[in-house]
Amino acid sequence: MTAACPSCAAPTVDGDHYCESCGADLAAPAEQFTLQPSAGPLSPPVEAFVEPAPPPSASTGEWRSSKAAAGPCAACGATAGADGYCDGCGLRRDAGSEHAEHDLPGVVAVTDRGLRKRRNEDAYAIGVAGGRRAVVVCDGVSSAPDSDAAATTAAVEAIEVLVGGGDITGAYRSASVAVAKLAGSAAAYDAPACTFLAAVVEDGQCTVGWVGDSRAYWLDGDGARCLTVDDSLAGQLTAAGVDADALRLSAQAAALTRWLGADAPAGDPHLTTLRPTTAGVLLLTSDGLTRYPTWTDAIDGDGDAAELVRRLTNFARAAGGADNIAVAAVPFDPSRGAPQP
Amino acid sequence: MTDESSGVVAEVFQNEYLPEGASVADAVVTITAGAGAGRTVGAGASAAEVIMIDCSGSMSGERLVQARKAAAVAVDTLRDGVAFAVVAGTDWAQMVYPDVQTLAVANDDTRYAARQAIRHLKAGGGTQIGTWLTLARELFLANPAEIRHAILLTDGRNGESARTFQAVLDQCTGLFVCDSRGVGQNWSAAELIKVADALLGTADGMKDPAGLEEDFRSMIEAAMGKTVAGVALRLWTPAGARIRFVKQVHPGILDLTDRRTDVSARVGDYPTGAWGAESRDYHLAIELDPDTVGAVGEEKLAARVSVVRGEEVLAKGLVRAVWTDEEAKSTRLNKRVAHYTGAAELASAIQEGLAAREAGDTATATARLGRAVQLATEAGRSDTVQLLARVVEVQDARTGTVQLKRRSENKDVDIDAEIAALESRRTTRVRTN
Repeated sequence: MTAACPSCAAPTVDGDHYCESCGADLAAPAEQFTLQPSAGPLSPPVEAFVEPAPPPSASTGEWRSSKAAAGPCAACGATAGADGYCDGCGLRRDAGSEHAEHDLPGVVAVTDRGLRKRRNEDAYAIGVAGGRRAVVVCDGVSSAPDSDAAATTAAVEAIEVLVGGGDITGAYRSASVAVAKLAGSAAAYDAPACTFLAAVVEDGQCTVGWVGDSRAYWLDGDGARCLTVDDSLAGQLTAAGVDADALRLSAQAAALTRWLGADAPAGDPHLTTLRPTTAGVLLLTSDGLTRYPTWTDAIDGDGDAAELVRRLTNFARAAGGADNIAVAAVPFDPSRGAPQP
Repeated sequence: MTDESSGVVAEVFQNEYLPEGASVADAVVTITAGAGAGRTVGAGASAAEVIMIDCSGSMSGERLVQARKAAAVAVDTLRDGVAFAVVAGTDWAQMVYPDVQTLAVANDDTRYAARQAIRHLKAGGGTQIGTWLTLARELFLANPAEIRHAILLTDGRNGESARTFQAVLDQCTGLFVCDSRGVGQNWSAAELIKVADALLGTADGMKDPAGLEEDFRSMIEAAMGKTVAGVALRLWTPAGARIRFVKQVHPGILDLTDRRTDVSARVGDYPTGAWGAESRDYHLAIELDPDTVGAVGEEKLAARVSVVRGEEVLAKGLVRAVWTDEEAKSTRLNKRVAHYTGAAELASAIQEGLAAREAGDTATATARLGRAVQLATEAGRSDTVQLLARVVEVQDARTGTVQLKRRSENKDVDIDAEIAALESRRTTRVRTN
């Protein structure tokens, strides 16, 4: 083998015209591959996702994520293997951090394990590049294995695309390809998975893309307005104007109908664009916060963004901390061109 | 997890949840090689076959007639180009075909000539199996074939000392795979199991020689289907861990625990012989360092399992341990693990019971064979229960209450116990989910 297929990354042999695995034309430039729309949510054509060209000017932007720092094993000091386990004592390395906070000019994020979960399977990544501010929040699906790795990998992959100038759909596809690689072939129906929520703020508008049930809100003087629709039966009903709470639906109604991972239903993320005319905060959060309906009481319009995300995280912990929490905020003021510090 | 290009897949079945303080991780690893396994070798892998036929005095009559037929069928089943020889075994080993000590190359002429030579097999003399295996070894050593397989047919007990026999087995280990068969009334299951364990083959026995022909055909067919030799199970285990056992548990039970070759401090290889398109199960039990077992909520790796040929990794899997205080999780048994644990216990209960019976230890024999009846009943293995019922009087199969029958003059009954000992080593696979 000499090279990887630009479409599905399977190994190829010198002289091959087409990929043995996905049939892609190996002689064509990478841009030619496009996502094949699929009729049903059966098999995810993850291989068909474009792996975007490397960012043209990655050096101009910077980003931070909640990914755990590399280093020797906390228990025995040995190094970790590529599979995420210590080569000495076998201790599992979590992909994410128990608690992390980062801020860059005009964008902040916090994640916390909460009180009940064994590890933090939420992840965030924030980035700035020129006039662009970008945020990614991913929530690992706890019923799937290695979901912390899925969430962290997706967040990091996506922010690299967004900081490099790519759009949210490209970031989602790139994250999908990376997370699909985490799955073993034996685990085709039990693959690492996570939600995906990303926002790009530039040129006076906020674009939000999502798959799953992590949510984006616009907070201003009028309160919190949800910009996203959960990918679940309950979420769809609510969006259609039905009072889902009153229906007393089973827990199944909250089950995700879409997610990001090797076994995910095909398709691109939902997108919505907001052009605020008033100053406010774009908030991105996992359901570790929004599961507590009174979370909006913890919003205080006076504090700065860093203060806000910390207060919301503390609120979720105080309310029970049943799930991991990831909250990110981008303050926005249409009257000012530059990012709000 | 697997490297898809190799055509080999490893799947791990386990309950990774351990109660607080527990240190033993149990897992069944299912390894499946597709038709294209080890493609670099391919279907044209060079193969060599040695067929060893017991020609001791007791073989005379119907048994030798059937053995001749079976050997002829085996020769006919060899594909063109396979290096082969037929050996007659008595107190020593003698070349039947070709008549000099070398391997012939299978084609229409050599197969015909071999069949003619087999027709002239005569019975007379004793049984010194080690000498037969030694000749097979010399034949294989002089030939570069990659896939090396032998068939050993005997109707009696080995006349050699256990030490001599073991020394020969040790010399042959790793050089070739040998399937052994007992026929008639006087062979010993324990000896065939020794050959199977050392040479990674199957062991089987039958009273009636009429079944030999079909059995030989299927053994050769299986051997001809092998495409890659020298495949090993490689285990990485964490510092301080002890490997309790590594066993092949499907399609038959083979204990590989003592067959480890250290690769590095934490990595060792266990031989699995030659593979074709097939699927096997391996049961691993790993005892983690009791001083460093995880706290509740912690997760550790108990083993990295890979299938290797030389340094080429064909497939990979992980055996994990997660400590929990939720009893519902930690007490759940993985079906495959439980199934093979039961099968292995049944096989060893019969073998231990027969060994005790042989040694005149009636108490132990009764206890072990009683346990075997109980396990076989629980597992629904009625054939095994019936065979055991010929050596023990079953009073209550459910509780395993039995009484040892007197060793009978009728060898026909005694051999049933030997057949049961071999039969119990063959396992079926349970469906999971």
